[in-house]
Amino acid sequence: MAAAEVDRVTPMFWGLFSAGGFVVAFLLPVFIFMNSLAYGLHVVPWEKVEYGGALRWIRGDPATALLGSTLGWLGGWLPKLFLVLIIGGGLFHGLHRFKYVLYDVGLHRAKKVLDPILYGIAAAGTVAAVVLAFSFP
Amino acid sequence: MADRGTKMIKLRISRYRPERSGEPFDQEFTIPYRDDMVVLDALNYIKDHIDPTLTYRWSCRMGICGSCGANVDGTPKLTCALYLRDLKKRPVLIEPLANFAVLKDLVVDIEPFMEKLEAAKPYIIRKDERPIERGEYRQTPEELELYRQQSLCINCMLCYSACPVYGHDEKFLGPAASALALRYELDSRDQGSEERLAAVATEHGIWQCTFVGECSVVCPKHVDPAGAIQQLKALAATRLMKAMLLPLAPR
Amino acid sequence: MAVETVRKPYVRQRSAWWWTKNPRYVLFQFRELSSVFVVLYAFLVLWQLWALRGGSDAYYAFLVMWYSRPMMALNAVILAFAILHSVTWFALTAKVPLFRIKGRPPPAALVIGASLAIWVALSLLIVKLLYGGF
Repeated sequence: MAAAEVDRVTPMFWGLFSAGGFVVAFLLPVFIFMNSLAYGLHVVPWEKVEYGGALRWIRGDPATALLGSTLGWLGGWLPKLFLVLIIGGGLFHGLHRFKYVLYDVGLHRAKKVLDPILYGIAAAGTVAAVVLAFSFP
Repeated sequence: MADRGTKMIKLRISRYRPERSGEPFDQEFTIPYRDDMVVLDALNYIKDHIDPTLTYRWSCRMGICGSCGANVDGTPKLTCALYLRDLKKRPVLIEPLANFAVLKDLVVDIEPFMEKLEAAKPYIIRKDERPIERGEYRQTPEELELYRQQSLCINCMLCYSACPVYGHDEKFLGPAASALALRYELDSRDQGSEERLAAVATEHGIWQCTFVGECSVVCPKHVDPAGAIQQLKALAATRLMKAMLLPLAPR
Repeated sequence: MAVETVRKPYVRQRSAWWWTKNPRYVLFQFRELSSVFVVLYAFLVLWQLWALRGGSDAYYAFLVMWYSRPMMALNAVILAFAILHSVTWFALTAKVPLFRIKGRPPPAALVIGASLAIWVALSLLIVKLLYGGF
């Protein structure tokens, strides 16, 4: 077999895929439940999900109150960081894995086109998450 | 041939006879069987008593030579270690190992596999070769234990037959060759890590693996090639990170 | 008598349905398919944030859609795939020893158990810390 060139790009995206995989595994299910299903299942009241409640959530009110005076400043950061981790981690994890799904159905010859598109979407989505999340007070 | 009251079993065997037909075809055989028969015994019975043209590889009959692999009821198995009594379906379907070109009947072309093994540089690479008078490179039992699992591979190719990635990318380095690369990576006597990792961390190398994990399931020697490839990925990725973060540091 | 050698390697084509032949391949395909739902949810949350930026009326319109029956059903499916990802991810990562105990990699069952325990604890902590409990 002829000596092939060392792949220096994939390991970086594999690293992001793995880190994202942990983030998604540990954080996503509870977030989906609280953000999408809890109100519909009558687990949380309307006040928590309506416009004002959502703004209070992203401002970090519950966390600030719980963390007390010394760590309270952290409260405002937590929800935003949480969102960025889930969206960025989810995109870099999910799109890397999806790339191999596409390879498997016969698109592995289109690697040179697929890679920039998929990782480009992941990067753009992560930037959008940072900008949007931190645009709130 | 068989006494009355003897149990019979029906097998459907995939045949390919390049000198006669262009396509493989299935042929059924019904043979007497006992509970202590393995699939290889059935193949030998057919060759000895029914059809001497049936072609397949085998040697040791004790799961160590690695030559009698075949897909039995769709799963890659060593035919010498698979009892007919453990198979539920009738007829028992015996096909050549998947993902390899068929040469004749159950015999597949092992040449691509041999090339992959070679590509993984499966030998100890020394930077400072010692003169022979100074004796062997010594190793403690603990150091041996680190790579013992990966060293148990018998090159039976069941893992390649089970690997869907190899199924769509014939250039993929694949399970056994990767496990073998890790076996030398973990060997305390080896100094060729950089060279070997570079050989396997290529586009069609370890990065093609999607961790299906079936290679480790079918491995008769519990080598766990799937785990080995992930360890290689972690090794290669951390080494690359270090090289980028500390470009001047000695590697 | 000379015998002519015939060497015609036969390459078999893999069926598009290869993965239906083995339950572990089916689980693998579903595991990989979870990526589609993870990505979809990331975009849904971006949409949610965009709606929240749009003010009270825009967010109310979003919530009407968000808590409609079809959307609840879709989100339930996404949650199912997210849980499938979590469980399979812990099983996969247990195969890669990140540390060693007395020179040996920890047993996979121990790593999976620990991961599941951390997952549950972390989920409860998030409910408490970020959402102020139920």
